[in-house]
Amino acid sequence: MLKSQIKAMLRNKSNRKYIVILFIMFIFLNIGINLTYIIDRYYDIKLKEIADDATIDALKEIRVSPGAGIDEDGIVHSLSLTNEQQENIKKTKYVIDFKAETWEFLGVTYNIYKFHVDDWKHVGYVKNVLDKQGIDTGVYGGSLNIQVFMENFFKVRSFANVIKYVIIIMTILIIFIIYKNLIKNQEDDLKLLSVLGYKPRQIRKIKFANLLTITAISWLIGIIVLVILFNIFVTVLGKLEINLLEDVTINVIVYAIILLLATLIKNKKKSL
Amino acid sequence: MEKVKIEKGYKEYIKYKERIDILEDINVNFETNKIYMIVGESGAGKTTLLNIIGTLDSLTKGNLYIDGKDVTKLNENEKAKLRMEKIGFIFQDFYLNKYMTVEENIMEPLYINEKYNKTTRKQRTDKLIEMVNLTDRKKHFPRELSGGEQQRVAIARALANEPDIILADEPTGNLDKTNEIKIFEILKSLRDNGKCVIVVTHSDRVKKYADIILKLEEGKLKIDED
Repeated sequence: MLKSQIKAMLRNKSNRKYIVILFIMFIFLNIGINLTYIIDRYYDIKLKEIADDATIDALKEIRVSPGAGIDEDGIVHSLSLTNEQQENIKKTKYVIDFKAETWEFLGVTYNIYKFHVDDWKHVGYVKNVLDKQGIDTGVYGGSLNIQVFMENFFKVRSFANVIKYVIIIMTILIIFIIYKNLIKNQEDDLKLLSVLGYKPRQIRKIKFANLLTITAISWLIGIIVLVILFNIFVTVLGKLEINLLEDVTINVIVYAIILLLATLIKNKKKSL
Repeated sequence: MEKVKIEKGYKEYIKYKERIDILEDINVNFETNKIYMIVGESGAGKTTLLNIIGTLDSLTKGNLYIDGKDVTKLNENEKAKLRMEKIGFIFQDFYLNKYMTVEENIMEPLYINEKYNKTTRKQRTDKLIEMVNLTDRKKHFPRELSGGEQQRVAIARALANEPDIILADEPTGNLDKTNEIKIFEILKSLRDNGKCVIVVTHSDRVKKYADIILKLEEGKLKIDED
């Protein structure tokens, strides 16, 4: 029963065109999901071309120097972070170590707190979090070259974040429209099945089998093309790891929601 | 033998908050070994009546009996089973699946009949194709067939599960005279084989094939004395 229905569905030229559009949308969706990640990796590789390991390590460091204050007796003394502040810093996302040091200057011992983040790209985030808590932070600026590089990176990253969501929303909309059209294409044939004595549950099964088959074919072609693109990227730019489980989960959830919405939102009724 | 009966049947639609009476006080029996023709002006409600008999639509009031059993209150699954077992449909526009071959179209109703397995389904399909003289066209698609051939495929499909009731909505509406004769020859042989054949038409030309002509006028059904 399902085999003959699926064969008939795939013989329909317009359904085959939708498979092509769907696999292109699948590729765009996955590029969108991974866009910022791809940009991050690209800039990681570029940074290694202009900075050595020690410099890159220094770029991950953040310092907090509360400075000094003058008490009622006019004596200069060092300020320090409270225990609570120190704990907050240690618990901040991306912070991987924390050290309290002292530094003597003109007879005054100053407290300095140093910590590293896991990735130079996360420095900005941690700085923002601590700024909101009223903690002044300092980072290693690096050479002019590196400063320009970092500024450029954050601009591109910010822009890419917007583009990512635009791509994702557009592809989801297009995929939704395609599924609606696929369901519409099946309408007459499914109504006929009702006339022939197929039960509602059987008709639903056929409807979903057809949609899932088209989805599976478009995914298969899409995955093959993505693997080829991925290999080209890796050849040109070096090692790239993608969180495959996360990707698959996002795709399954997105497609499941679209399919559900497309089948629930009814088309206008048409009689035989 | 009585096959279909409608008792005090009414059908109305509500459109833009206005009640439209389509069928009024329908009381009719349909028996085996007869061809009934339901005639009337366009929009009289002939197709609605046919759809009600075929359980594709339901009466607003009244009862429908098939084989003596009141089917008025059946749920969708029960109606689907009834259609599969007892009713075959033929339409003016054939309503074949464009992307299935002749063989696949005729086999479609057999998949849901538990009586058949893969082998017997194929045998039954071959027999039906032979019955309508389309053996050499069984791998063809509807677009490769003439109108008359397509209607013969539709008839074969309608007969797949050996129904006792054949409902035909303008079966020769899109065919020329030659094919019309061929189709009605088939319907006549179905009648002779014990089927109850109910045809809806607005063409005077085909009335001669009927055993009983019923006229639907202003929602009421009566025997056409003309």
